Amino acid sequence: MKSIDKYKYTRGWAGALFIGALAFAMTACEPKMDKVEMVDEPAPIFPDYAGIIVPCNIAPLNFTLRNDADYMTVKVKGQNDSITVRGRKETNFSLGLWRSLLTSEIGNDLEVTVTAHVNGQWVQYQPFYLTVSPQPIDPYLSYRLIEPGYEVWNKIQLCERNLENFDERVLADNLNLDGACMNCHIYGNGNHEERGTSMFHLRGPKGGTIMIKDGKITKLTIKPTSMETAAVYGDFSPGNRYCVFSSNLVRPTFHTLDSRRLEVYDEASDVFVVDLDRNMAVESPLVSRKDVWETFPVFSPDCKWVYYCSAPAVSVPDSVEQLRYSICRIPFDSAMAEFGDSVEVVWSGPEHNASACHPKISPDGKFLLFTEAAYGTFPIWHKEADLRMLNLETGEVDPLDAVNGPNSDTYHSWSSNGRWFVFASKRDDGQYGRPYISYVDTTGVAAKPFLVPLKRPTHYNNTLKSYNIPDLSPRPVTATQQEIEDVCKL
Amino acid sequence: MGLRRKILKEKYRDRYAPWVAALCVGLAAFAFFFFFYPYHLQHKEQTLLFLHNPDYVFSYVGRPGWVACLLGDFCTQYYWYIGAGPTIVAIWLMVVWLVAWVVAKRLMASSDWAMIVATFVALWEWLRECAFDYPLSATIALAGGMSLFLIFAALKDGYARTIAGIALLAFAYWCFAYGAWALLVLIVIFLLLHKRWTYAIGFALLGVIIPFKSYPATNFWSWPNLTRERAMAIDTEAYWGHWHNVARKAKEGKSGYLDAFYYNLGQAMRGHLADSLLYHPQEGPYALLPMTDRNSNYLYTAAAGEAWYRLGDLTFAEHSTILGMIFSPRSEGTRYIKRLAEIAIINGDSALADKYLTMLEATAVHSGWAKRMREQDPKDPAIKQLREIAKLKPTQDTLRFSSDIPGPLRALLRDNPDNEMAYQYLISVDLLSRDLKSFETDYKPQRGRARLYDEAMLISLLLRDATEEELQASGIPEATIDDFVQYTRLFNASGRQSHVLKQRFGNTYWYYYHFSGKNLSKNWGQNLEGKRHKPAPDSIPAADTLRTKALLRPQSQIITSDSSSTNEIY
Repeated sequence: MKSIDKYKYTRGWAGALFIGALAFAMTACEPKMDKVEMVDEPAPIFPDYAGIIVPCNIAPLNFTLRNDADYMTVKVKGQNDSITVRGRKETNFSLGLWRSLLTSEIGNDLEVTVTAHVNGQWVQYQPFYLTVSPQPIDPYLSYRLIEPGYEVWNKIQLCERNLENFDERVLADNLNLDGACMNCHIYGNGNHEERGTSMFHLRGPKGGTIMIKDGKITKLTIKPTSMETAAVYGDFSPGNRYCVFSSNLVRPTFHTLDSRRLEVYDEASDVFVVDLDRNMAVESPLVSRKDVWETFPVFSPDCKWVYYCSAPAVSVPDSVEQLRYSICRIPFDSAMAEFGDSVEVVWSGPEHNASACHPKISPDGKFLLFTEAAYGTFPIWHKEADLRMLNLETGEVDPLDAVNGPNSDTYHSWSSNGRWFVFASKRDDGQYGRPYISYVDTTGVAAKPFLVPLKRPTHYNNTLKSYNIPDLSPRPVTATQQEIEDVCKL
Repeated sequence: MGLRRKILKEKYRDRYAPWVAALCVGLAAFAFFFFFYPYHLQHKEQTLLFLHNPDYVFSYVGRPGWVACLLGDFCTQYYWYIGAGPTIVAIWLMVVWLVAWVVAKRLMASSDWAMIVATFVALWEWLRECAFDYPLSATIALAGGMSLFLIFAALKDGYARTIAGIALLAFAYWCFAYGAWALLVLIVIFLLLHKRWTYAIGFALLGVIIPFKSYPATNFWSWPNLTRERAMAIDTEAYWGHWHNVARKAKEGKSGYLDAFYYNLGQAMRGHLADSLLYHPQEGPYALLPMTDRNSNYLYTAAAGEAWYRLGDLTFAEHSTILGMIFSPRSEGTRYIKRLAEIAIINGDSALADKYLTMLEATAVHSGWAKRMREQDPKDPAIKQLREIAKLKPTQDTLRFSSDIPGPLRALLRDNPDNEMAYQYLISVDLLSRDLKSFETDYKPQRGRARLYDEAMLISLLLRDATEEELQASGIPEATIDDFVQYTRLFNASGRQSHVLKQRFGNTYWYYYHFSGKNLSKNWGQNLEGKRHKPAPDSIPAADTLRTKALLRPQSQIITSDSSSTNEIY
């Protein structure tokens, strides 16, 4: 008995010593901050979060230092609260403390001071500021994770991320679906629904449109007999009774020159509406002309118009650089489920010597956000592609200089309150698309965008996947991955 | 004394025999993987990207089998060094053997039988390691799962052990994924041996209820594939830039796309493609520049990127490399990242190059290479090569489909007429697809003659009923023309029997034209106008439909233009 007691105490002391040594080692690793040199330059952080406006419900804006720093201290200070974190080269803000800070600083600016230990010396950089907007952003962001493999795919995942934290879940993984291609996930527009509506297309032998609506998951074949192909681009109407689609005969080709890489164009495209309640297609010769290519249709928020892009058919690919899409709209009678009898040009591609893609109207109906490229219909592979904001009341176009960057900016999506939009940008390296968020005020002026925060921001550098077609929603997809994949396999 | 000696002998045998046995297994495994099967291990390193940064390492944690995967991938990165792969695999197989021996001894108490069982287990795992996509993680997972059994077996019988067993299964799944299955099987056997029927059934039911997955193991059984090992050998030697080895190994191999592809590439890199093309079995133009789609073999797709890179078409090189990477077992790999970095550097995509180089700098074995790429020392052979490739880049923009192979080659020549490799490839593509019409357009005798081209030209002249003057103007040597006449006679006399012609004419284009090559894909050579290049039909028209007015040479005499005799030999 005595020997057992002796070992019991010995173990206790050994454990305490071990914990103490560990704590000492951890604290001993941090160099002493005895002399700090102030430098008159901004902190070389990635992502760049300086001078941005953030939603009050965004996850912590973790960042890393892009120099030889081996340790840093970051203080985020508002008018009422502040938090300080210490770490090596990456911040790791506590989710609880961050939320508390943002909540207490709504409408205020936050001052962020970075002090880093670089080459044996502590330096303090110029502080930078960010503003906490009282406007929340839709907490759910869906996107497709796919390599920029041009025309062939292997492993694709449709994912949903909670922007209020770092949770990410897989909605569908094509590894479980015999490698089928999955096109981008689109959320519905039912702000008053209890359960979210969304859809995505599944290609291949068991292809179809996977519709998640009213708590049910169904696979639909959406291809009117007059259409060349099944539905490609689409949008839900307010209330989610209708979907408007384009049917596109898509052709990918390759440039020989430098980094232009891919050119994708349509050889034919038309627009049609599907009435989900009555399972019928609504067509109009005005939006399915053979001498005109219609694509990227969306509903207006009041469901009275269908906006889309339209271009006179040209001989492709030899004349693809003459292909300039305009933004048009056609009335839609949602009660009668029929198109109107006239088409109106909202923004003319030929007049601007450019081509418009992906028109998306703000929830208040005042603004139309679209991508402008030199020509064509696939702007993600056009370096010059930029976002533009069209004021639907005045007709003025804001070039969004504060938003656009080098390389393509496109695939945008509005939040349900109309104060934020997310888009995919290749500004960081020209090849891998990443999701950026930008604030828009009530007059349509957009602020500097910021990269969607990750728990570890270096993941953006480590990943070989693009974040493709990000889409915002106030509600999550209610189905599980297993339920979705079971329907996909039907 | 005799008895004492015997006892001592038994004692030492029991103590040391297992270690000796394990060492033998290890040495045998090392010898096998070092001398007979090294390239599979090299390939596993090439298709792995293990980054030494917190984001990457922490991405393992939380996944089932994270301990096995993290440890396995960490070890696999060192396969890059010659001999390291066989050593590491041998060590882990020894670990498997030893753990299996301890486990078996615990179950059956006989050391000798335990050694036999352990040997079978180690051999099974050894064979599984022969699969190209079988990760070391799976071997570690097996060892881990088995070792946890020892904890279970050490516990006293009762409810506590049952609860501990369930906890161990959960822990095993978390750390070793499918290693939990090994643990479950051992627990059931153990309980059955101890006549704990109820507990055994209970645990067995767990295996039915809980959907354990085989991850990270990719197969239950495998066998050495020496054909694939040869393909990987050629592929790896090309990756290392050992082109003399590539051509030699490719020539040794049996017919197959990758052999032919690397043979052709190796010869082209040395400027000998025209002289050597048909001295290796060719499978049509795909052996030069394959089309890539979802069903393409990833090894071949990535290899195509090598050819496009050497030709100077960086868009297609990048396309093929990314596709090869996407379709590789893990959709990643240092080999692909290095090539993508080179392409980005040549294209001036500095931000993209920086991304790839930063990734490589975070690896254990390729950070030095990345540093060299950043330094851009003009004396560095690797940098010199980049600059040579940069000179071959197209200067004008053209749009093409991925299925259009001749078009990009013509574009390369248009912008860089001195691109000899592009010229050789273009002519070879025309010939291997039996598109003699294109051949006549693309062939430029002033660039240099080759017997292969003369042979093709003879068929071309024959098919369009050329005159004697045209034949003379072609400059084709008399000896070649005589051979052609002999060939056509033998062809006709034999009733188109290939074996009759093979010995003498097997390396000629005439033989290839009549007897070799596969059907081309319907998309082959589709250019942007929507027209398809029409290759020669796969079934050659019957010989008797071809006329030989200008080329009939009875007794090697030249038929003059006023000859009135016409003998049809086709």
